[in-house]
Amino acid sequence: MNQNSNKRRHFIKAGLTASVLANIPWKSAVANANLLNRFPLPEHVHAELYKIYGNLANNVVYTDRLILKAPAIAENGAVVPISVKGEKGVVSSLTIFAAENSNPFVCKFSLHEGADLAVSTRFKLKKTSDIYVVAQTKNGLVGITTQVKVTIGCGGG
Amino acid sequence: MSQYKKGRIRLRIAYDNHGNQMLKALFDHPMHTGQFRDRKTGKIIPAEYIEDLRVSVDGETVFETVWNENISKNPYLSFSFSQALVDNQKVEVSMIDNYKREFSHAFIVKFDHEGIFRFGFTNTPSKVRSLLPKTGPACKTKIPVVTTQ
Repeated sequence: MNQNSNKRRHFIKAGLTASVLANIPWKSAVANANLLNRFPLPEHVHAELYKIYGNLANNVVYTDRLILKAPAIAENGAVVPISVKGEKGVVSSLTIFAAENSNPFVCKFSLHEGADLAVSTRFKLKKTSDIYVVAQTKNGLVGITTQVKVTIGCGGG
Repeated sequence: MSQYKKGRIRLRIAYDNHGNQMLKALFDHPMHTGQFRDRKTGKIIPAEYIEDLRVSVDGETVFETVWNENISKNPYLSFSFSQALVDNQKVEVSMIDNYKREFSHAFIVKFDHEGIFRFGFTNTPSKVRSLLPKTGPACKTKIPVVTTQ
């Protein structure tokens, strides 16, 4: 009896996952395997990402291999420092998005042969918002995110 | 900002905690977003920002960025090299803003006789300045070249 019930459970599980997977527009093995790790992006940020990377933007995977440093509270929204570090020779390009800015695309770094991923710069934030960093690797796009609270925003950003 | 000069580029080579060489750069640029008004005249200040920036070593592009108005005023940039720079290599940073004006700055790498640089750990003064040649045309910032199109 136990075996039978187990089989039935497996069958139901498989059916459920299959039905869930069937609803996903893209059919990449990588994306399906990392379904739970999918990187959540707001629609307007995704649209910007799609302009840059095309269809690659449809499966961005969450990663913990990138080290993103940004202040938890930024006193001045006009100058927010950010730095991204990673392993050697893995990332070929990197984009940064600020969700609440009127133009969410902040910058794109492309690293050619001779440069490593330890990049830092300063940018503007309109108000408290999530920051999305998306990096391009051989296996596709990976992302990492944090939130920066802004006490005095930069109206322009 | 008495010495403010639009398009001026200041470069340094530093070492991070892992001993990798990194390039630090400071740019003098207003980076107007185009959304602020001039308080006296009430007119909108037109957008003015650096669009494209690239770093080359001996003529080969190593690093490229696409920027827009979201970058702060007087921008700062740093990245690390995967291979250490050697003597007599030419490092050049050039950028274009949205008015298609080009600014560039180049220097030739020259290590001192020790070849060791210390930062923040001891009280000895840093020797970064010795990287830049004291005389010669490469040490002076080029006057911004305005190209009309």
